[in-house]
Amino acid sequence: MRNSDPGRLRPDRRRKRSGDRLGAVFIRLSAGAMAVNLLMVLGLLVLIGVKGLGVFWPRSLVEIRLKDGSRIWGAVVERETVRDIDPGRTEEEGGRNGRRGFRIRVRVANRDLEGEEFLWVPEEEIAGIRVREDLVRVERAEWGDFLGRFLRLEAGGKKVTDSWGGFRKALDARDSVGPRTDEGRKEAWKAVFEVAGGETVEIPWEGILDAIRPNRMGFLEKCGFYGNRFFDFLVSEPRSSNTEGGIFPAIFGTVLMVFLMTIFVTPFGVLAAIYLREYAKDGPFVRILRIAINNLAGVPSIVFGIFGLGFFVYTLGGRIDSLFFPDRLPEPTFGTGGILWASLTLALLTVPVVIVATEEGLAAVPKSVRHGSLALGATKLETIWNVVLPGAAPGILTGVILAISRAAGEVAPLMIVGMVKMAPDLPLDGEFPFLHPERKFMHLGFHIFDLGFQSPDVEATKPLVYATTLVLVVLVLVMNLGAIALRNRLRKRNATSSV
Amino acid sequence: MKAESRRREIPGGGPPGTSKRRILKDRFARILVRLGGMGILASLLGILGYLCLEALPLLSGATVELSPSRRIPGLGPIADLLLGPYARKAVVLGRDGRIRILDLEEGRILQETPALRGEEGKGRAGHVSSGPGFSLVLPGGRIVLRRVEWARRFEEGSTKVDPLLGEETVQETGFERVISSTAVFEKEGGYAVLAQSGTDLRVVFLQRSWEINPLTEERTVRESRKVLESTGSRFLHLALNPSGTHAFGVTEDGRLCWWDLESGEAPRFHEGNLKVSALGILLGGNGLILGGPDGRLSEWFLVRKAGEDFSLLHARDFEPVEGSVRAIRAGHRNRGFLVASDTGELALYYGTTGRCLWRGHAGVQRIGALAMGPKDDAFLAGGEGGEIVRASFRAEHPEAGIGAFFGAIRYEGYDRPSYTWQSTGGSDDFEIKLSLVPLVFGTLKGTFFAMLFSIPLGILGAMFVSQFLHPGIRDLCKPLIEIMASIPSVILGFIAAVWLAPLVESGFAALLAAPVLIGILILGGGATASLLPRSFRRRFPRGFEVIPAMFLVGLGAWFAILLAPALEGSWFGGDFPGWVQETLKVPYEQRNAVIIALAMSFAVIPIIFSISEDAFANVPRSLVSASLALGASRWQTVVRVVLPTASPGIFSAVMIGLGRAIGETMIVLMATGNTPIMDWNPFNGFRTLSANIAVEIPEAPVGGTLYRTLFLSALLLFGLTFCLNTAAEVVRLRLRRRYAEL
Repeated sequence: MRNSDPGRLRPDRRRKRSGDRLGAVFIRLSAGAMAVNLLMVLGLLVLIGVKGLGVFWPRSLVEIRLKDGSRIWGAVVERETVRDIDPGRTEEEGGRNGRRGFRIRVRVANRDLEGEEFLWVPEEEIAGIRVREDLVRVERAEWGDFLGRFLRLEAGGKKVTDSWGGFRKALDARDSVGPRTDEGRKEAWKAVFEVAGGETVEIPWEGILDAIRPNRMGFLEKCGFYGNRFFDFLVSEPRSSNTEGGIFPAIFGTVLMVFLMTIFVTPFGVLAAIYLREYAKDGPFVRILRIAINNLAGVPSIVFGIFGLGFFVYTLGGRIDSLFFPDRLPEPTFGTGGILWASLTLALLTVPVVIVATEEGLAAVPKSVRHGSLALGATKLETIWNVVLPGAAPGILTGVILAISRAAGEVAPLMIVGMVKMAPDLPLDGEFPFLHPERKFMHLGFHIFDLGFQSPDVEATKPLVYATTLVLVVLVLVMNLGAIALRNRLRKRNATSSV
Repeated sequence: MKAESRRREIPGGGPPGTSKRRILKDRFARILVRLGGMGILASLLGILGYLCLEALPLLSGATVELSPSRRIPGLGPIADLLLGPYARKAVVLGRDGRIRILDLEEGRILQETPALRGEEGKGRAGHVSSGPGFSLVLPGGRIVLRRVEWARRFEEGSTKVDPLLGEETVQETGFERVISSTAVFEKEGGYAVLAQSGTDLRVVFLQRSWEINPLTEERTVRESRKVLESTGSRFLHLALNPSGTHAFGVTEDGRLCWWDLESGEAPRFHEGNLKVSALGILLGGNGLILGGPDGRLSEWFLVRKAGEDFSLLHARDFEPVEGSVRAIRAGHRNRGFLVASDTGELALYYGTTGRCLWRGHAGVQRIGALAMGPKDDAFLAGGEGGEIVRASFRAEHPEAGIGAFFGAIRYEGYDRPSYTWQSTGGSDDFEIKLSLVPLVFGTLKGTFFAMLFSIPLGILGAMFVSQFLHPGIRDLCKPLIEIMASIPSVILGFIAAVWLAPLVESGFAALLAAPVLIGILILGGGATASLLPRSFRRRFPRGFEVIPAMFLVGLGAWFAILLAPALEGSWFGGDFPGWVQETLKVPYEQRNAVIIALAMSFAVIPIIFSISEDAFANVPRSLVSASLALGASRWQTVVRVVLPTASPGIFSAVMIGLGRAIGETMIVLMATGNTPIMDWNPFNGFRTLSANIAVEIPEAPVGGTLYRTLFLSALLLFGLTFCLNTAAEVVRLRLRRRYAEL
C-alpha cells in the first residue's frame, strides 16, 4: 500500500493551478536536498576509496630541475593554490596580498637525509620536470623509504654488481634462501646509491626490505606490486612506532574485542527482546522499558566510556585485583583498561541495536505458528526455543551484525577503557590461558585517531591513515550491507506471511 | 492481552503429556527472560546511579572532627603555631618568646628552648605571611627568624615525625624600633622580611637567600636591603607574597596599600575605610584575605586591566564570622583558608569559589594563633590562655560546587567575573578553574551549527523520499543513507580535519556560492524540463527527479569550485581567512564550527532522515488519497495533510538528532581546536563536554576533583540526552497511538 505513488492518483488535466506550479518548485528543491544527501555519502565513499587505494600504488618518480640549478627527485603528490605574501611581512602580520600561485608537494622520502618526507615546491621556481627511468625506490627497515639512483652493490668494499638486474637478482635470492646467507658472509654487504644532490649514500644490505624502479614497471607489474603491498599492510606488524608497516594487530584486536562483545551482547539483547515481545504485557512498565532502550541507544558513547572506566576498570577491576591478584599490586592486572572491559562497555552500548533487530525478527514469526505449537502441547519455552527463535534468527543475526559494525567503528569509549597505541602482546596467544582478557589491545578506529593526530609526523603517516580508513570503511560497509540485505529478506517474508 | 490468556493456558490446563519438569523449565525461562528485560532498565539506572555516585561528593563541604580543647601543662599564652604531618606534633611560639615542641597525642611538652638564646623573655611575635617558621621582634630593631622543618623517620613499621628547628637568624633592620613586621620563609631556605620603623615610619624590605653550588657545595648568600619610599602612615598589618615581589599593608586609618617591590616605586593606596583585624595570603601568593573586627571577610588581588597598570581589586566577600577576626591561616595545597574569631568561632573557606566549607566553635574564647597541617587534613588552634584545639578535617573537593561549575567567578588576576575551564597547571600560582559553562556553550554551539545544516537536508530528503520518490529507487536510496549512518565518526573526524578543513579554508567562497548555484541550476533545470513537449516528458515517470537533481547538484558544486577564486577575489580580497580577521575582526581557525557542521551532518542527517521518513511513510494513505481526491495538488497535500500529521514524528527525529549531535565526541575532538572559549563566531573552535571528557580523563587522578567533575559533565550529557530521547519517545508513542486511531 505504502509504495503506491500518490501523484498517480491526481487527475492529469488539472495542472494549471498556481499552487501546483509553486509546489513543483518545492518538490524539485526537496529532490535537490535528497540529491545533496546522496552525493555526500557517495562523495565520501569515493574520497576514502581513492585516497585509500592510491596509497600503495607505485607513483612514477620524476626529476624536478629548479631555476636555481638544483634538482629534486621524488613523486608529485598534490598541487595546491597558495596565497601570495608580501615580501617582508608574515602571514600573521596580514601580509597576504590576494594573489594566488600554485605549489606542488613532492615526496622526496629520505627522511634521514632531508629531515622531511615531503617538500613543497612553488611552481614558479621550477625549470622543468622529467620522468627518469633509473630512479629507484627502496623500502627500508628504518627511516621509511629511500629514493635514489642505483650505483653498485658492494661486499666489504669490493664491487659485487653494478647492474640493476644483478642487484634485483641478489635481492630475490636473499628472499628465497632466507637470512642464513647473511650470517655466513664475513664482510658486510651494502648498496650504494646516488641521491638528487649528487652525493652517494650507502644502505646496509639488511636494511633493505625491497627495491623497485616504478618508472620501468608495466601496468600489470604495478598491479602485482600493489596487491602485495596491500596484503602486507593487512598482515604485518607496525614498524617505527606505527608510522610504517601494517595494521595486523589493530585488525586482530578489533576482531577479538568485537567477538567478546558479541558473546555478552547477544544473550542479553535477545532475552530482553523476547521479554518485550513474548512475555511482557503492554502497560506502563513496557513503556518505561522502551524509553530505557531508546535512552541506552541515545546516550553519548563517551558517557558509556567514562562509566566503563569508573565502574568496570576501577571498581570491578580494582576489586578483582585485590581479591585474586594481591601479589601483583600496586601494578594493576584487571584494574586498568583491557579488552574485557572494553568489550563489556561496548556490549552495553550496542544492546539496543540487538534488541530492536531481534524484536523485528520476532514480529516476523506469524502468530499462527506460535498458536499451532502451543496447541500441540508445547510449553511457552519450547515454543520460543523450537519455533519462534529459529524463525527470528535472521533478525537476531541482523542485530548482531549491526552491533558489530557499530563496535568496530566506535572509538570514544574505547579510548578510555583499554586501547593503546602499541600493544606489546596480542590479547590471544599460545601462552596459557591463551585468551588474556586483561590485556590492552589495538583497534582500527583508535589507530586512525592516533596515527592521524598524535604521531610525530602527521604528514608522513597520512597515507597509512587513509589506507586504514579504507579498511575500516570496507569492513563496516560489508557488514552493514549484509545486515540490510538480511533484514530486507526478513521484511519481505514478514510482509507475505502476515495475515 | 494475548500473553495473559496464553499464560493461563499453559501451566494449568496443559495437555496430559506436560511433565512437571517441563513446567519447571518453563517457569525458569520466564524468570530468566524477565531478568533480561529488567537488565535493560537496570543498566540504564545503573549508569545513571553510578555517575551520580561519582559526582555527588563534589557538592559536600568539609567534615571536621574537632577534639575538645585541652590545656597542656606548662604552656602559656600562644603567639604562633605550626602543625606537623599526621597532626601528631606541633611547635608553639609562646608570648614569652620560647619555642616549645608539643606531643599532641600525649598532651605534653617534649622540648623547650628560647627563640634566641641569651635574650629570653624579650620581644614579641611577628607576623609570618607564609612558609614554615616563626619570627620574633626584639628591641633594638632586630628580628629573629627561626625556620621549622619536619623530619620523618621510619621506626618499627610506622612513620615518626620530628620537628627540626633551624638555626637562629638575627636580622638587623637598621631601625631602633620595629612596630610592625612580616616575614616569608622561602622553600629553598631563604627568607624575606618587611618591617616598619617606630621612629620615622619608614618601611624596609630585607631579603636573604642562598644558593648551594652542587659541585663545590659552597654556599653563596645573597642579601638585599631596600628602604621603601615613606608614606607617613603607620601600618597595623603588613603582608608579603611568597615570591617577594609584592607587599601589602593596612594603615591605622583603614587604607589598604601595596608595593611593587621589584620596581621600588612608591606604594599605591586603595582608598576606603577598611577595618582590618587580621590578614592572610592564599597559596600562590596572589589572593589577600582581610578579616575585620566586625567579622567580615573579603578577598583582594592585583589585576591589570588592558592598557592600565596594576590595581587592587575587591574580588569577593565571604560569609562573615561572629565577632572579630583574630587569625587567618591559608591552606598548603589549595586556595582554602581557616579563620578564627574572638568569640572562639572557627570557619573554613575556599577562596576561588567563596564557599564556606565549615563553621564550628572551638570552645576557647580567645584564639591567638592557627596552624594548618601540611596536607590540609588537620588544623590546630591555640588560645591565648595556652589551650590547644586539634581538629582533623576532610575537604576533598573544596574547589568544586554549584558556583564553581556554573557561576561566573573572579579568578585571581581577572578583572571581571568569567566562565573559564582550566583544569591543570603546574605551580602553586595556578588556580584551578572548573566552570562547565564554556563546555556547555561549546556543546550547544557545535550542535547549533550542525543542526542548521542537517535539519533542512534531513527532513526535506525524507519528505522527498517518502512522498515523491519513485518506489523503484527508494529501495536504493534508503540503504545509502543507512550506510551514511554507519560510517564511524572517527573517520568523519579524520577526513574533516585533514582533508576538509584546509579545503574550506582555501575555498570558502565555493561553500557560500554552492547553495545558490545549486538552487539556480535546479530551478532552471525544472523550468526547462516543463518546457519540453509533453509526449517526451511522459516517457519518464514522475519520482525520478532525484537523478537529474544529483547531476545538477554535482554541476553546481563544480561550478562553485571553479568560480571560487574569482569570487574570493571580488568579495574577500582574495583571502577569506584574512578578510574574516580584518573585516569582521574575529579570529579564523582552520578547524572551526563550519567544519564541524559539515562533518557532523554526516552523523546527524541519517538519524533525522530515517526517523522522519518513518513518520512520513506511516501517515495513513487514506488521508493522502482523500486530499488528492478533493483536488489538492501533490505539494498541497504534503504541506497541509502529511506534514501536520507527521510533525510529532519529525519533532522526535530532530530531538534524537540533537541528542546525537550533543554527544558526538570523535568529530569534535579531531576537527576543532578544543579550546574552551565562549564565542559564537563560526570561524573558531570550541570544546564540547564530550571532547573534554576524552581529553582530560587520562590525566585525571582517580577520585580527585577533576575526575569527579568529568563524571559530572558525563552526568550532564546523560541528562541532556535523556530529556531529548524521552521527549522524542513519548511523542512517538503518542503518534503511534494516533495513527492507530486514524
